[in-house]
Amino acid sequence: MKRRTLIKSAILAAFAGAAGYGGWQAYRIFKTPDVADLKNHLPLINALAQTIIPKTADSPGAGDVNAAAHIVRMVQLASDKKTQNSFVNGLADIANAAYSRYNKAFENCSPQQQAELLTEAQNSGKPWKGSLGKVQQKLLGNSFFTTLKELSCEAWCTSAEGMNQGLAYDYVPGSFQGCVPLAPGQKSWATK
Amino acid sequence: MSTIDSLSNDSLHTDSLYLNTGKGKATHYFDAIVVGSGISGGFAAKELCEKGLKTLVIERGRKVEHITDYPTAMLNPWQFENRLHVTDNDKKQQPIQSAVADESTKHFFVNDLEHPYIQEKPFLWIRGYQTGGRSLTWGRQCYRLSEFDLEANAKEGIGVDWPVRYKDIAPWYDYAEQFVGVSGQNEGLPQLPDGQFLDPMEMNCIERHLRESNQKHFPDRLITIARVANLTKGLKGRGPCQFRNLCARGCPFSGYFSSNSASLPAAFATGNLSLLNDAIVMEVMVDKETGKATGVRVMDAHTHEITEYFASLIFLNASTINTTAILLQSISERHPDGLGNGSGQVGKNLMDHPYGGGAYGEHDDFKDQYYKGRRPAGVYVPRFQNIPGDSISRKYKRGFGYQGDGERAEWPDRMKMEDGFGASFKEKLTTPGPWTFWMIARGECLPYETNRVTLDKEQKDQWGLPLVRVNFEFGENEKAMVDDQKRHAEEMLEKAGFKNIRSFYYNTTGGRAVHEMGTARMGKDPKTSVVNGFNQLHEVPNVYITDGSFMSSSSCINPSLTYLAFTARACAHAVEELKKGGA
Repeated sequence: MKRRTLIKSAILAAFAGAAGYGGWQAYRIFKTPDVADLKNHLPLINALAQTIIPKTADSPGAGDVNAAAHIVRMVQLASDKKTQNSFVNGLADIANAAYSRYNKAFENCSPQQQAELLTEAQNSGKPWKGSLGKVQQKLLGNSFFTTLKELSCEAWCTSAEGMNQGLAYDYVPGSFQGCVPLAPGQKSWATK
Repeated sequence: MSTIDSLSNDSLHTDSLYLNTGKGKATHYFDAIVVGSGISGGFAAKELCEKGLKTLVIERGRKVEHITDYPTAMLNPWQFENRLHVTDNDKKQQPIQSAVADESTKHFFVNDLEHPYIQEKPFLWIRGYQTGGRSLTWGRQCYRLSEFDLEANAKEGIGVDWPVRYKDIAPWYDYAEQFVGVSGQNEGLPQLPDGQFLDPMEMNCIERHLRESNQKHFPDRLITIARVANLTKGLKGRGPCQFRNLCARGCPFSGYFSSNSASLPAAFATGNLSLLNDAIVMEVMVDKETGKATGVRVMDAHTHEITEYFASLIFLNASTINTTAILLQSISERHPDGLGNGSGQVGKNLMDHPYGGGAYGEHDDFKDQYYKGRRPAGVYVPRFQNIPGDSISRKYKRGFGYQGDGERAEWPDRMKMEDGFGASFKEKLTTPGPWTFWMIARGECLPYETNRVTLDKEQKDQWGLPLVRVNFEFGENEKAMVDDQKRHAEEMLEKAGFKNIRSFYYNTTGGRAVHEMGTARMGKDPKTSVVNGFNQLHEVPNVYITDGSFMSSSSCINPSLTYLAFTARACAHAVEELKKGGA
C-alpha cells in the first residue's frame, strides 16, 4: 500500500471511529458499490422522488416525469464511490424500513407513511453545520437524502413538464428588463 | 485532409502584390499568413483582407461554420442526456477543459488526452481547436487599458515599459469597439476609459440598489453594467442579442462577437481570404540572407503531410502558449534559441488573472420585483485601489476589479437553501427566493520571469512536436490583495443592508481565467523585449504577434478587446510598411 493511501486510510479510520461508525458501517460506505443494480429499483426511486416533489394542481411530480432515470444515471456516472454507497445503502434501508414497519413496499405506502420514512432519512442524513459538514461531505460523500433530493430537483426542474408547467420557461426571451413587478402567482424562471 | 476553403478559386491566385519571388506552387503563395483563427487571428484576417492582401488563415483545429456547426445552440435542457451535469467520463476525457466546459459546450474544447502538456505546477490550459478558437466560448467582457495600466511598469520598475500610451491606442479601441459591437455605459473614469458603446443592458433592482448605496457610502466604488460584446441592437446584419444566456454554445442570432459570426465573414466578403483547417504550424521559416520570415511549415493534423506556405507578412495569433511554442520551435542559424528570441524573453513572464476574494449576501427587500430575460452578463466594479484618490495605504501594487451579479434565488439555489420536501418545499422551489448578490475580485498579475513556457526536450505529441511545459504560480503581490478583496466586498454588502453575508477566497489555479498572456512581451529595447510598439518582432520585422503574448503587463481587466485594438493597429502598420517595401 502506498504511503499516501495509508495515511488516507488512517484518517478515515479515525474519522469513522470518532463518528461512531462501527466496522460494518465503514465497510458499507467504502466498499465497491453495486450501482448497476439500481436499474432494478426504478419504481421505488420514482416513488421517493415523488415524495420530494409531489404532484400539485399545476404540475406533475418528480416521479411522474420519471426522475428515477436521471437519478440513477447521475449516481452511476457522476458521483463518487462514497456517495454511490450511501445511495445504494439508503435505498435498501428505506425499502426495508417500509416492509418491517408497514409490511409494504415503499411505493405502496400511503403518502403519510412515505413522508414519515423520508423524514427519518432526512434527519439521519443531515450534514453537520459549518466547516465540519464540509469535512464530513469530503470523507463520507453526500448522504442518501441529499443525493435523492438534489437529483430529484435537477431531474424535475430540467424536464419539459417541470420547466413549462411547474416553472416559467422563456425559451427565447428576445429582450431583457431589469426590474418588472412580480405578477401574482409568478413562478421562478426555469433557467438562469 | 486539410483543404483550403475560400469563396472562389480566384482567391487562390494569390500574392497580388507580387512580393514573393520564390518558386513553388502558386497556391502556396500569399500576401499574408495569419496563424490562428481565434479572436485576434480572425480580426487580423479581416483587417488584412480589407486592405487588399490575399490572406491565408491557418487553423490547427476542425472547421466550424457559423450557425450550422452549433449543434447544441437551440436545445432545451431536457434534450441533453445528462441534463448538463458533468460526468466522470467528461472529467476523464477533459480533465482540464471540464473546469469550464459542460455538456452543451464540450465540443468546443480540446480532448486533453489528445493534446497533452506538462504542468510543472498546476496550470489549466484551456483550448478550443476549431475555426474561431475560443472566440466562440469567451466571456465577452470588453474593457480598455488605462494610462495607469500602461505607465505602471515604468513607474514601478517592473518588467519593461510599454512603448505605447493611452493616446496611441485609444483610436484603435474606438475602431475595434465599433466593429465588435460592445454594449456598456460610459462612466468617465480615468482607470476604466469610456468607449464607443451600444446601449447598456439594464441593471436589476438589487444591482441598482447597490450602485446607489455605494454612491453614498463608497463613492470611489462604482457599480456599472458589464461592458460586453453582446449586441443590444442589430449591427452589420448581426444580432440583436436574444437574452438567452447560452452564448458559449454559439449564437444562431449572431448576438455576440466571435471570429465565426463577425470577423471571418467580413474577411471572406472581400474575396481575399483563404482558410486552411486541420493544419498545425510547426515553424516559421526564415531567409538566411535577409533575416526575414518567408513563410510557415505546416503539418496536416490527420495525414501528417508537411506543406510550406509562403508570404511577405506573417501574423502569429495562435494564442499565447501556442504562439510561444511556435517561436521556440522555429530554430535556425540566425535564431538558435527560437525565432526573435535574442533577448531570451520568449516564454517568460506568463500571466493570468487570479480569481481572488469576494462575498455573497442576501437581501430582504424588493420582494415584489423580478426581471425578465436572461442577461448574458453581470455588473462590474472597476479598480479603486492605488489610483489617485485612494486614501488607503495598500500592502500591494496595482489592484483588482470585481465582477458581480444580482439575482433572485431560483431552483438551483433553493434546492440547497430550503430544508424539507413535499408540497411546501415544491412551492419554494418554484417561486423566486430572496435577492442575492455575489461578487468576485480579479486582480492584476505581475510579470515574473520564473512563470514560464518552455518546450520539453524529449517528450513529443502525436505530431512529433515537443510537449509544452508550463511553470506557473501566482506571486506574493497577487496573494497580498486577497484580504482587501474579501473585506471590501463584505463592507459594500453590509452598508447596502444585505444579510447572511459570507466572504470567500477562490484561490484558483493559474489559467482558470483563460487570460494567459505575456510570453513575447512588448518593449522598446530588443535586448529586453520580443516585439516592438507595433507588435513587430524586433529581430524579424515581417512577423507580428498580436495575441495575448505581447502583453507587457496584465492590468486586472479582461484582455480580449485590447488584443483586437492592438491587432488593428499592427495590421495598419504592417500594410504601410509593406507598401513602403520596408517590412
